[in-house]
Amino acid sequence: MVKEIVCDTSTILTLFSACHLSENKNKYLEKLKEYKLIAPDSVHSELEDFVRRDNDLGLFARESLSYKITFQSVELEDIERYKKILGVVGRRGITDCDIACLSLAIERDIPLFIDDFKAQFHFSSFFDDHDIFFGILLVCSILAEFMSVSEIFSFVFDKLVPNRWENISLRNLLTIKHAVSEYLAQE
Amino acid sequence: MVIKMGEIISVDGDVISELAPYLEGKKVSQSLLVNTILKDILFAEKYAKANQTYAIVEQFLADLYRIGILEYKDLLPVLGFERALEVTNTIRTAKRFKTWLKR
Repeated sequence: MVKEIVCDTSTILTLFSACHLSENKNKYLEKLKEYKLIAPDSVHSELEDFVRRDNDLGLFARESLSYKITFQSVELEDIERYKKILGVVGRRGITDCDIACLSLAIERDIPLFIDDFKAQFHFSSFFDDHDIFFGILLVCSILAEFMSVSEIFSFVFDKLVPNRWENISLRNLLTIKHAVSEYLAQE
Repeated sequence: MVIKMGEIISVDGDVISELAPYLEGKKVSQSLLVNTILKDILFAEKYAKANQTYAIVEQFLADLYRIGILEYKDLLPVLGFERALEVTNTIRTAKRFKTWLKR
């Protein structure tokens, strides 16, 4: 069964960075087909902005736009409503686009994947009953189809993180480490 | 710090005899604990050159929380309120994601 999920811009960039860097693109994309990727129109606009950049993120954004992602409009009044609930207008670097993703996920009652770590933390504090995950965890679960635990760990920290997050802060690096370690831990 | 492949790691017997019942109570194997510590040091050495000491401390605390030895309140004095919340939220998110995947 195909699972519907909402992805923010950062998650889409992570998903397609990993796809590009993985040495088994076909298997990666085959597993990705198990998910229907949904995003607000504002994510499409952000990806187009990335495409104009002459760097790796531009390349990953271009690859994502050639993939089937369902873009949907989100009403301005919905964004305003969630802004009021969250009380984050212009604060903590949380954008209208992030809030549009949250609105879409909650209204459709499907999980949100977001790789903006501060936004994920803030959103999940307010909507603890809703599934709000990190995109990098979805990447790990896709890689698990054709990589061992140690290969996934090396791939994430030797290839994916340096390419996807140039000059990553120690705080965000450790956040990724904690999440990936827990995901890869044996039950 | 270099650990040679195949080298026998000798651990003080008194330490083990005191630690073993505690770890058993927490259902954590000695191997898991030693592996976790070594992995955290290696990670800091490879990827967190800017502040290896902090990286080791935060990873160690987060891992002890993950495996059930520490609780949220134990992280507060070192990580502070905000970071302790972020770390525990991150681990809870990953656990919840694993549950969601199985549905």
